[in-house]
Formats: sequence, C-alpha cells, structure tokens
Amino acid sequence: MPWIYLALGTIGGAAAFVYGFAVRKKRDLVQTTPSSKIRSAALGMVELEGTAQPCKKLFLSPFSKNKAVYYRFLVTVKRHKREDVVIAQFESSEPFYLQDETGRALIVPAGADLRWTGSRKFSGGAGGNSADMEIIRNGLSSLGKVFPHLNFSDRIECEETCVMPGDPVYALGNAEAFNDEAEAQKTGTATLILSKKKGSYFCISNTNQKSVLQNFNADLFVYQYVAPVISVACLYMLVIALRHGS
Amino acid sequence: MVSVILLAAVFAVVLIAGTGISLYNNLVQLKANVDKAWANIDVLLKQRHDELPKLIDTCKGYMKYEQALLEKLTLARTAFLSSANNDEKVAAENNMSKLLKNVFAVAENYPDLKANHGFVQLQSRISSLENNIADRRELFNESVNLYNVGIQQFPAVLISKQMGFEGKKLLEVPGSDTQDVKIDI
Repeated sequence: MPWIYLALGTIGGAAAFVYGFAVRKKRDLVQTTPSSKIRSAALGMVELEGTAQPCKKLFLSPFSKNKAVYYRFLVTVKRHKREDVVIAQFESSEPFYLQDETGRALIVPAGADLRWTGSRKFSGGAGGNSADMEIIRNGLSSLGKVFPHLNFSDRIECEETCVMPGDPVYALGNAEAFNDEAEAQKTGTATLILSKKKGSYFCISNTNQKSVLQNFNADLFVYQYVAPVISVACLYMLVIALRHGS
Repeated sequence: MVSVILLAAVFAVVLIAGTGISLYNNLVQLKANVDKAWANIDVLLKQRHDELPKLIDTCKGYMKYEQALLEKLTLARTAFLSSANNDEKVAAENNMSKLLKNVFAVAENYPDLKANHGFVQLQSRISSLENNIADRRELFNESVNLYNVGIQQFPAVLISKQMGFEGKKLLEVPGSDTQDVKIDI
C-alpha cells in the first residue's frame, strides 16, 4: 500500500479521535438535559419529546408520495469505476410543530443536527428493481428533472426521509418565547420556538432520547476507540513500509 | 517502533484525561440543572404569590363567612415569603396549594363571586400556574434523579465524593396531601 495512504490513515485517525471530543460534548448534553413539558418549559436549553404536526400545510414527498411535515431526498447515480453523480438533492427547511399533551413548540429545522431514521431507499439499474426505477423516474419527473442515461453497469439510488404527522419527534435546543399560552390556544399556534442559534447545539430526531443516545454512543465508539487503533496501525505499517523502502 | 508506541501512549493519555474532564463537567452540568430547575419553580411560585392578594381582596367582599380560610391563606403566603430554606418553602408551598383548592371549592357556594369577572380571571390564572408548577416539579425531580444517578454511576462515583457532589432530595408530596380535600363550609 502506498505510504501516502498510510500517512493519511494516521492523520485521519488522529483527527477523528480529536473530533470525537466534540461528539462526546453533544452526547453529554443530550444525556444531562432533563425532558420538559412544553407548557412549562423554561427558556434556554430544553429537551422536548412529542409528535410532529404541520405548521402551514403538508408537503407531498416526490418519491414515496407521503404527506409529510418534513422531507429530504438524495438521488445519486453510482457509476462503475467512476465517481458517483448527484442528480437531485433537497432538504425541507419549513418549520413544523412538535406537540405534546400540554402544548406546541415551533421547530425550525434549518441548521439543526438532523438525526432522522427510517429513510426509504429505492434503487434501479444494475442490481436494482424495475418498480423502484419507475418510482425514481416519476419522482424526478415531478421535480422537473430529466432521468439520466444509465450504462449497463450503472445504478441509480434514491434515499428519501419523511416525517409525517403523528410521527415521534425529539428536539434538544434553545427555546425562545413565541406566543403566550392564551394566544397560542386561541390561534392553534405554539408557545415556544426552537431554532439554530450561533454557539448553541440544536438536534432533531424522529426517535426518542434513548435512541439518540445510542446513536451518539455508537459514533463515539468509532471516533474515540476505533479511529486511534486505525491511526496507530497505519503508523506502524507506514514505519515498516518506510524501513523497507529505505 | 518507538513512534508507534509513543502515538498509542499519547492517545491513551488524552483519552483518559478527556474522559475525566468530561465526567467532571457532566457532574457540574447536572448540579447546575438541579439548581436551575428549582429556581424555575421559584419563579412560578412568586408569580402565584403575587396573585394571592388580589384573590383574597376579591373574595373578601363576597365570602363573608370564610374569613378564617382567607386568613389562613394570608398566613401561608407570609410563611412562604419568610421561609429560610428550601424545605420550609416546600412545606409552605404544599400548604398554600391545599388552601387554594379549599378556596376555589368553597367559592362554588357563592354565585355572585363566581360571576365576578375578576375572580374568574384570577382563578384561571392561578389554575394555569398550578399546572405549570406541577410540571416544573416533575422537571425538578427528573433533574435530581439524573444528578443522583450521575454521581453514583461508575466511573463518576470514583470522583464525585472527592469533588463534593452530594446526593439531593426529590420533591415529595406529603401523605396528607394525597388524601381528598376536606371542604369546611
């Protein structure tokens, strides 16, 4: 293996290890912040759990045709022995409500650390299936995009994530006042708003705190245990390679 | 080979030091969350107490036979405002909640009072505050629980006592408060 890759592995492993401390800080914030009810949540860093509800209207996701409060998708063409090409990409930035039994909070997802699970995957072409191909074709057509030419060995893949009304939502972020309780009840709006603020962590997930923590712990294991092992192993092999080279 | 061993040693030392720092910072955060949760209850209790003089004045004009109850409410408010520590505050606050329930229950016997717009607004406001106080008590208890678990879990337990992190008490409702409210009419 060329020494350059080993050097990159050594440096990359070390960088991932250092980055792991930033992941640890976020994990600790999720772990130490207690859950609040929306009605009585204090302003500042809060953790909320509830269900998603539409703010203004529902959006029709282009591929799975779900009526969603939020969706995002990524369509790529995987070419044999060449770089993948991104055909279409979108992430909704429209706000939606997080509702619990005591009230509603307005969630503005732009800039948040989005930890969505349960995305649907479609693939057509080499190794894919014709039903998925049709879904991708129709979806791209509804977006005004031309379906790309695929060679025999090419595969087109689409990953779409939707959050539908009633889906569980977890949010950890900085809460600010939006409306007072009486006004919110009268107009059916929210008492709080959660959005990305500079210097403050903001996380949204369609699971719960326990799943988010498990996710973080898995990431932390990779960054803080696997990455240094890879770094040390790469350095060892680099030393061996340089010795044999010299 | 020395460089490999050195790198592995650096990673190990940084990881152990980083974990230790992270543990300590977590304990500090957990303690701060408990203090914040208590302060947030205090904010609502003060708001409730600010409403009480208006409630008592509104009720005095109508509830001519309930002067003893209204006096107890005034004394409970004074007891809260003059309480020296959190335990006394909690006891005064529990007493206040019981007395308020009595006042609103007894007010049902005074249709003129129930029709008073000011009284209806106060009742709604105080009920809303009571609900928020109950929610924040839950939040306080969860904060205390996270803190107590945090200082006892391994490896935080190795440093928590040395660093002066002691366990905290949950906000408990006294046994007498879980019984049905007796209305003295």
